[in-house]
Amino acid sequence: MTNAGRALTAIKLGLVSCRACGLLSNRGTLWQGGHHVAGCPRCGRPLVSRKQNSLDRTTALLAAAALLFVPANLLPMMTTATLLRQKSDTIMSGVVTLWTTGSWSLSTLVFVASVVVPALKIVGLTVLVVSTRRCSTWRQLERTRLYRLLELVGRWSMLDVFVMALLAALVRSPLVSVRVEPGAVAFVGVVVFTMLASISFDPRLIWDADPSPSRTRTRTRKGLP
Amino acid sequence: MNRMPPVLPHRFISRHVPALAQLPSAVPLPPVTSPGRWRPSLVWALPALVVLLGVVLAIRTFRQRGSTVTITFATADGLEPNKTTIRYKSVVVGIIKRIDLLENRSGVAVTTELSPQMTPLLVEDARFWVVRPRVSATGISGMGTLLAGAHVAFDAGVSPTSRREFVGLESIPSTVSERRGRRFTLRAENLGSVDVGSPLYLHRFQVGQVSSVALAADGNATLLEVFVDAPYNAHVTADTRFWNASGVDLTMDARGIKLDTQSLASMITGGVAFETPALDGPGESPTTPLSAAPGSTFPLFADRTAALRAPSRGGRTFLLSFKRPPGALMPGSPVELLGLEVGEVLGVDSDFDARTAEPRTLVTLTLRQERIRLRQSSAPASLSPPVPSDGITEMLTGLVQRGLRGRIRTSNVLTGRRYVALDIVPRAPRSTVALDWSRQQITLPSFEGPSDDLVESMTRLVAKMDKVPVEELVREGTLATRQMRRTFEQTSLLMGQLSTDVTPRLTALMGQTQKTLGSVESTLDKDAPLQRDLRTALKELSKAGRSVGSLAGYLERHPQSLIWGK
Repeated sequence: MTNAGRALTAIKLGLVSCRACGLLSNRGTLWQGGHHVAGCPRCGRPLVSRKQNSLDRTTALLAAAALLFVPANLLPMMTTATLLRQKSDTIMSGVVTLWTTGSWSLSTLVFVASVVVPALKIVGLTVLVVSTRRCSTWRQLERTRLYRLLELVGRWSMLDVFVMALLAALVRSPLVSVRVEPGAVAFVGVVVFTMLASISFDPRLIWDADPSPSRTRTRTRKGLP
Repeated sequence: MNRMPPVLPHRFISRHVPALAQLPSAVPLPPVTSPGRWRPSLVWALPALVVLLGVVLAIRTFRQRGSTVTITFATADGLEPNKTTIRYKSVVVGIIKRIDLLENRSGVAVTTELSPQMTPLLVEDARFWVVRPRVSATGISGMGTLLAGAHVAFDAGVSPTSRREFVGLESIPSTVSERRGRRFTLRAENLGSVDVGSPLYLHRFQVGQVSSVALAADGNATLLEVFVDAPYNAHVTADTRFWNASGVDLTMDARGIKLDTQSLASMITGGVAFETPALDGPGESPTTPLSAAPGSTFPLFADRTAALRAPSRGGRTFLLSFKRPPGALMPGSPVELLGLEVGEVLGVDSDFDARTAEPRTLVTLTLRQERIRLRQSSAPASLSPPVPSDGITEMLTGLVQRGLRGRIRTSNVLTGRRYVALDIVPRAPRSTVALDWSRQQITLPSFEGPSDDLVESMTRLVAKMDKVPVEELVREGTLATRQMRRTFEQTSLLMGQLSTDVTPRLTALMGQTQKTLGSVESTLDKDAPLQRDLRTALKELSKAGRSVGSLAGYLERHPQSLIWGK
């Protein structure tokens, strides 16, 4: 975006909108002095122009999610014990089993929801965080669209978790039993942390990358060790 | 610390965007005491926690890592990697990870992973085998594996040497290491219907089972390993007899027909029974028999009779040698001593003497000492020391001196069964064999007098009758009859002639004869002159005789008178 730097922003105008009641107020000089110094004249909520520590939080949550992604895929998700046999499945072995037994559509769905989406979220958020940290003006519009996509598909990851929770709760008979294994916990961790990370990411930071680097850099570098 | 973004002057905004001037101003909040230096956000605790969790998990997994064990099986039938479990006492303790073919393709190597609790149990004599469904007459085992598929069972060992590579058993061991008892090896000529798991009986009470069956290394016999459960193994002594208790035992001997069976199960599946014959006969002090050492080898007899007949270890056997064939004498035939059954025939063999070129029958027999009650007399202490004096020796020595001889007799005319009789034969020829008591096998003198067997006598009679030329006799008889008839005919003819021709002449002859006799009578009449003369002549003759007699008497007394005169 060539005109990114020239856009008139609320920050430039000294205006801030309350995130609770939506009242737009004039922050005036109260901005100086640090965080949480200005309150909403209507509801009293501290006024902030951008999400607090957005990049830090996103980075931390993303790191946790990425770490958990390894055991979530390596450890067995659940154990199905029938009269005939006992079978422990990881995500991938479940996908393969579904595929070999002919349930291609279901296999694809599980693969997309459980492997592709979390991986996409982790990779996508990493791209967003890294580029935003570097105040990159590279493909800002595409990055925003990417963020919207991540928010959209993120909820599908919970599909697996719901299926497992339902199975484990419903299938209780002496012949068949479904047991949730540690891999499922890790997977829930991945899903939850990626969701939190995408929530904590403030897409407006993408557009804060201004042609005048000195200003934005000081803004975005804040909080870095 | 942080520089705030520059804000356009309020005047500037109000002038250009008048509406903005109407916006309310933010209210000041109480200032937060901000820390002097930068503090990492709390959110970083999350990835740190995850890392910590991962490390903990990794350490735990590493510490709980089980032992990898390789087991060799002949076939991987029913085994599947990552599915087939290893079970110890039916508890899953491991899983098969990989199945590979052996280099020489003689079997499969199964790589398994066992839980760390099993590590101390993985020693040299630990055993692995595949549990598959088995249906036999004694029962059904491995039923659970019918649906769930086979699993590998594991039995811990006791050896102190640890091991990670095993050769799996192809058959299910019937005993586990914890079972208390003793193993014994039985050597059998014939396995019969005995199989692994066949019951072992003592007085028809099951005390153990056959734990394994194998062919002996030399291929001449089968080796059965039996396991006797703990309290009962004490009943197995060095003199215990084992026999095959399978099926139905039908015996026909001198006493008739006998049917013997064990339990119904053993009739079908086979079984082994054992018994320790009571060796301490009456009169002897019962000695506590020492139970046999584990792993001892015993012979497995075909049936109970054969088992109990066998001589006890170190027992004496006796030999009898006969010229005559043994007939229906066979192992198991009774031996009677003076009419009482005291032993049995062990074997009947032929003994060919190349020198004399005549076959002989050698009968081996045993005497049961417990059957012979010996009155403990004051034993003559003069017997030579090396002779083991146990009463029997003295008794037999004495009996042989009095004429004890062994002979084969028939007991049952119908079946032709025979027995060996040790009887005192009066006027027996002197025994040529000397009783050598220092040997294990003692040759007793035998007697081959005329057989008093009914069968033999009859046989001889029949043989004699066979020799009679009946046809010739009949032919000759017929001839004789014919001749006789002819003779009779001629005689009757003759008689007819006689009655017609001879009778009248005879009548005439009779008349003449009568006449002649009359004249003779008159001649010989008492008063006839001839008679008288004859009488006087005789008187004179007797007178002369008397004088001759007196002369002879005188001459006898006085022979000299012949020379010298009276």
